[in-house]
Amino acid sequence: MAGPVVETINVTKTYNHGKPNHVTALRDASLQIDEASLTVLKGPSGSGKTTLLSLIGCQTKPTRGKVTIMGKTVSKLPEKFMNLHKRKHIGFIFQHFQLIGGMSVLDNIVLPLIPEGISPKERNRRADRLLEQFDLTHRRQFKISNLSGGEQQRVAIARALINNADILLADEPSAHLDSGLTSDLLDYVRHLKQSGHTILITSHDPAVYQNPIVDRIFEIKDGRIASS
Amino acid sequence: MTYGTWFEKQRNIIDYSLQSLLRRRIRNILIMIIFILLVFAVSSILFITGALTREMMITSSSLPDITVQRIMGGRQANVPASYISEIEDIPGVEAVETRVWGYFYLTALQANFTIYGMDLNLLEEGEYQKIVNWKNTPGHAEKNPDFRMIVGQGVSELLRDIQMENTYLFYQPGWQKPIPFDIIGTFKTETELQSNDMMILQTRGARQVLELPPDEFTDLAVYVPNPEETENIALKIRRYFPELRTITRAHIQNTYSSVFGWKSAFALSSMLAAIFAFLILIWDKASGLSLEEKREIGILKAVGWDTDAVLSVKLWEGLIISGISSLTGILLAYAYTYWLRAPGLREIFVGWSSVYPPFRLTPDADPKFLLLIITIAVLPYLAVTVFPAWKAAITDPDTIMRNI
Repeated sequence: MAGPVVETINVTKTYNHGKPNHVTALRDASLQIDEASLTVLKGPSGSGKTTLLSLIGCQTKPTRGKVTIMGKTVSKLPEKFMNLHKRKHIGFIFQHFQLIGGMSVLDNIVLPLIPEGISPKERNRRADRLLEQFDLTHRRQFKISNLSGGEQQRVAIARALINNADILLADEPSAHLDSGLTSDLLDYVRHLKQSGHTILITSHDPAVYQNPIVDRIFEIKDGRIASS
Repeated sequence: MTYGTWFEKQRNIIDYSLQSLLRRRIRNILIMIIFILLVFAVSSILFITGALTREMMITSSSLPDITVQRIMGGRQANVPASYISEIEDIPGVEAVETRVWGYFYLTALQANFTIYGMDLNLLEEGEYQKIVNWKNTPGHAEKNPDFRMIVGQGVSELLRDIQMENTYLFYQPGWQKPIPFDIIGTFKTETELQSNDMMILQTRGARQVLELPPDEFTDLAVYVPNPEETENIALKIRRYFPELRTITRAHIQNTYSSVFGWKSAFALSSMLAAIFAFLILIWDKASGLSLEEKREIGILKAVGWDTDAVLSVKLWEGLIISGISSLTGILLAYAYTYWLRAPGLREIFVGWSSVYPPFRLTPDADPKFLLLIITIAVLPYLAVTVFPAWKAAITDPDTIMRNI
């Protein structure tokens, strides 16, 4: 598409807005991300990286400012339309994977497709393709709680990709991985970038943001974008 | 990305709800057991009340408009024949019939039977014919027409146990010899509550068994064609003859209705503690969403589920649990009341049954009762299931997941 895939303009996020315990996690953050690029949001813990990623990932709305995804200003949309846009364009990999423990690998991966009314047959077809891609076919019916950390991460990536999202967001994806698994992760990311996905990652891990596949880095300090 | 139909979406959501219930199966089974027990208890009470009231209404519809009894020294005494013509002369009275009845205690069976004397030829014709299962008793009955009788189901079963289902020998200490009666029929189950312990004897034979003097009767049955006049005529009888007591059919129906209603209310109120405990349990279960459930809702929202999809899952979960539990409870109550004859509960409602032969309750499942039970069971459960889920679902997934 012409122009940036993701754009934030003067975005501010205050939690518990209007209450005595309010916290402003992000102030006047503006950035643009191009299609099929790999961008890293870098900064120490508590700097506001995850908040910015959540705003771009339609997980919350900004207190002020504008978030535009694929040309549509999602920050002004009602929840239903924002979710529709999210399901259509965004895949999210959470820091702690956020998988449902009592469910199988397959059921976790197809979770985003259930409210779409896609038939079980079609859901399974798409999931099987991803299971094969991430070498998880033999774990198809395993409970999440029986998987290793690396396997759980691959399930989380597969779930983020099940809706054929154009944009992939990952929050500290290497935080709980050893160097070997981090290297595997970066291989997957490289592969996804090459296949045309736009990727945005938060990380304070040099192994991630110093990797040559990264196109652009935004440094965030005390809730503000310090440099890019 | 392709999008499915609304029906496919609902099917997916129901599938997910079932899967979610199975994941928490132990907790849900426990809730269902308590739910079933409570619905079963309430339904049983309502079923037995309905069945008894219905049975009383059926049988009382054939009662006389006014029953007249004579009271002497605070006790019921025989009514001399002289009253008949005087009551017949009261304007508005169509007919006065005499009745001969009493009780007969069988020591061997430890059961008390009601003996009623009437002209059995009347039962063999017209609408009464339909309420009796007639037997073929050739020979003896024709030779002794005054010593025939029709018995209720309970009497018939008890007499069968002592091999007297065709002929029964009445006997009391002091009698020179027993009086044999041929059983020519049994009453059908529709009138069982009323007829169960009953022996209808030919009047002359009944007088002999009850040792009733000639020209005296147990009570009188007064028939009034205009129902509006019944109470007035009953009042006149009491004014003209202060020693007579009148009981109208409406009075009997109201008495039975209020007795069963009162017992039902008493039984239900004694269960209030259980109902209250159940409500606390489901409130506690539902209002305090577990950390795991909150996290799951957060994940569903984070991967793009709308609030209404999350609520649909919770609604289906609540409907499945409360619907299955209510139906199971109602079906168990139905079987308990009508097939097993409500052991334990029946004694509460028909308190004098220790000397009363057992009787079968006729099914009477009023749809209003069923709707009431389902409403009071399902709606509160749905409310306490959906409301906390709604509170969690309208929160940003970001907030839920950061707090966990």
